[in-house]
Amino acid sequence: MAKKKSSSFLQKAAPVLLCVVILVVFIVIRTVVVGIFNNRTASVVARVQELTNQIESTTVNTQVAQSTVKETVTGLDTVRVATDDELAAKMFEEILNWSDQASYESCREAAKTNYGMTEDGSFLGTFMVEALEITSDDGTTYNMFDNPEMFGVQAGVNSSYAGMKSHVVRIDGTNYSYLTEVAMLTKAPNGGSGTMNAVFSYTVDGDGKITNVEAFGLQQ
Amino acid sequence: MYGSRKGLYFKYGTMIACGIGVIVCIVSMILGFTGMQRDISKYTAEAAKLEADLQAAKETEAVPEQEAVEVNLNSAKMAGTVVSDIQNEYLALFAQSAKGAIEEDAMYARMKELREELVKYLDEDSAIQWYLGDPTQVAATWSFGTNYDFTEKTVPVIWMCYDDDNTILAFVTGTYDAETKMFSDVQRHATLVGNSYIGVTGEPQSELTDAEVEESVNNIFDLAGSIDTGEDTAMSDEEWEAYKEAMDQNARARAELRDLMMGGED
Repeated sequence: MAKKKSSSFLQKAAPVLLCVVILVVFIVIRTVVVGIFNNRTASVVARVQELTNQIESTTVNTQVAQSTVKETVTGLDTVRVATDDELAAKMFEEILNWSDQASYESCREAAKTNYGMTEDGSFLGTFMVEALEITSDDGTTYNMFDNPEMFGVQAGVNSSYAGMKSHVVRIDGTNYSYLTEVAMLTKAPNGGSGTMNAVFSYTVDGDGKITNVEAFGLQQ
Repeated sequence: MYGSRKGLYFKYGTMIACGIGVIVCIVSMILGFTGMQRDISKYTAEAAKLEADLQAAKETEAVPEQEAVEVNLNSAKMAGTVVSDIQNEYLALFAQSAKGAIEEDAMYARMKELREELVKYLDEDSAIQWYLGDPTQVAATWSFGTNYDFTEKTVPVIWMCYDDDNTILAFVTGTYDAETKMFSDVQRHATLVGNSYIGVTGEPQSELTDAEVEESVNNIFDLAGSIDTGEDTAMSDEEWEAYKEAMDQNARARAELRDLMMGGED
């Protein structure tokens, strides 16, 4: 009787037991396969990281080696040039972004205060000259910025610094002299815009001080 | 009877539930494997790309040999100096011609020789006289800029044209190729001051001081006024006609000068 009961229980539990066995087999297989996948993934990720590091170090080593050769052959310190370029760009941001009389005057003031330029120097005396004004018979004053057409200027009288490309033209001790192409964007009152190009010459000393600034507009 | 049917339902119900459970497990496992395989494929592709990048970095960013660089820089300097010397001889011929100190035939013959020399270093379009300022009004001199930068085989170069007051009249940039021994990507630029001495008509600027010339043509308002903003600049008809006439006169004067200096009597 007991044997019959046991046989009946096994019969009833057989599908469940089978499923349990199958699940156990799957769990084992899954564990093994996931382990293999994880190993492969870790290995490929490590290779990616290794290659990324190699590329970075190759680039850095090459740049350092190139800089060393340049400095040995010509005396040019490329790090110094990059620093000077940043200083020059900062100066251009300060003196070439203006849109009206007030901002133009403040750029001229920045040129004097921050870069020691003078009214009779080349930059303020011949390039960013004092803006003209016209006073009519009734005493009304017209400036160039609001009334460019009265001064024969057809484009907008405004400037926003747009970029630079420097050329080292002389190295004298710690003084680096540059000829730098500079682009400025100007907007016309009716919505058009164009690029003003100029070439600047200046010298940067070992302390990062910019002197002898001259600017020449370029013919379009 | 009822009990036996209940047992049968339980048996089949258990089998179906277990079957569904197994299927769900298998499907989720397969989906999991697929996701992992996708990750591996993604990283493998990334690794292959990085391998290529690394190879390219090793090949293209090769460190130039110091000795080779010195040779290339010297070669560039010699060629650049020859070009600036030729440009200065053009200016000297121009000045002699203005003074009537040279016969036209002799001048054209020499200019032809100079051009033949220039094409050894420059392309056809660039192998011409670069600055055409009136020699009676401005003493221009070209100099080759010292080279401080380079890649393995090329040297960026610059020539500058100054007057005797060190005002920049023009400059030219280019790239020297150590293998072809020629300059390419030659870009010529004239400053507003330099341009003001070209094709001059009216009052001679020599009666003005250098600072007066600069102030009269170089200020940023003149520069702004010379920009084409791509829009209707709202000139009146009369202004437009006068502007066109002035531009035409300027263009004619330049063309005549260029013809003269390029040896129009070839």
